[in-house]
Amino acid sequence: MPAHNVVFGKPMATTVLSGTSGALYYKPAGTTGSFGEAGVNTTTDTITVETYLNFKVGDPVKFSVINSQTGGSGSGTLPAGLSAGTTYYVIAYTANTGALQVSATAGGAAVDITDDGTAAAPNEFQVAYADFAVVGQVRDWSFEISRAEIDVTTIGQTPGQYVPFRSYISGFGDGTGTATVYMTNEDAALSNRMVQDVLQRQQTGAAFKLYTDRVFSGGTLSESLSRSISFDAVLTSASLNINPDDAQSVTVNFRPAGTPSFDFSTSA
Amino acid sequence: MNYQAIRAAVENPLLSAFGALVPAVPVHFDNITAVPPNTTTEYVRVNVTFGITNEPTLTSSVDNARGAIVIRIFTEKGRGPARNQTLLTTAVNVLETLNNGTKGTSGVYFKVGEINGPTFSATEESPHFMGRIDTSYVATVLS
Repeated sequence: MPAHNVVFGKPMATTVLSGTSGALYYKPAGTTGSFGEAGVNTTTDTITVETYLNFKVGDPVKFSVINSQTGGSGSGTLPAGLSAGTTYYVIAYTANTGALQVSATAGGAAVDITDDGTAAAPNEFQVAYADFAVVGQVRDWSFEISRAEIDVTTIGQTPGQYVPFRSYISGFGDGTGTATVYMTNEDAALSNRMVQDVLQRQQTGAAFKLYTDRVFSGGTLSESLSRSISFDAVLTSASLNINPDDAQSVTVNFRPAGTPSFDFSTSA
Repeated sequence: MNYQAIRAAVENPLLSAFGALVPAVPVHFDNITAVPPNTTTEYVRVNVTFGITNEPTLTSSVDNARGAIVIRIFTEKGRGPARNQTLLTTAVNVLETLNNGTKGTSGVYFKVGEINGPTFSATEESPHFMGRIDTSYVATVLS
């Protein structure tokens, strides 16, 4: 128990995390693309990424150089006009060609790209949804992780006073999650987009950040003081329930695509 | 546990909202004498109850304050529900705004549940028409 909770040698009550400050953040499916030097067109200020991704006009994106073999950061130089760490906004994406244009401001003019940059294989350029964004009007979310167990009990043990116990070893990890979201009349709301993302063929980029305790400091979300679980995800189903009595809601089910990252400490 | 801070989290915004109306509508909280019943002056009564303060654990206890808020609006009888509902809207807006707050690093983090009502009633004896809403709340004292 922390020292500040002890007074006169007796423990004071701590405050329970009631879950009321939880939140759900999301990166939409199909919002991570890659391209090489050949995918840069300085004449039209267009880059060509994979086809049939799910970039929408207004999506905030960031560019980086990655190593396509490791998935980590790579070496190279972004096309001139684009800066790593800067948020740009999609102003056009053509699904069947993969042509993508971005602007420095939402709805602004296309960024002037003046060279192709350098990214020697296995390095390549990546464009991805900038940051987790809050999903509004979330009724609740739940998340479950599990671990398979494998029975390795050997038979033929010498009987004694007590019955022999089974033996197990741990198997693969797995997880499932559910979020119930009230539907709103905002077309661009992430909650509405989650429903369509279930059927998005390429769900690359889909990720959830589940805040168990979202804390703001000075009016800004403090990651160091908040507690969260984040992971790349696959959206597996969406269940709409429309009836005469209840507010319209949709339940979205998802599954981690990799090991979740747990940040349950209140320090960076 | 800081009961005063929890009470203030809901009472202060209600007092401000009704005080900002023109004309201002008096708000009477717990243990404050209400307007005498023989007047037609409109007023608001707010009751905050603490249903549960904490939960015991095997080794100690954890603070987890939950309770109820009852807001009653008294307006002149025989004039229809419009004025009463207008004042109820002010109260509901305050309660809904409380849920827009984000958890900070100090003070009280306060969330209300679903709002029940309004229900209306008017007795023969009283000169007032009463509208009532109530809701639950969960409060976390941060400092």
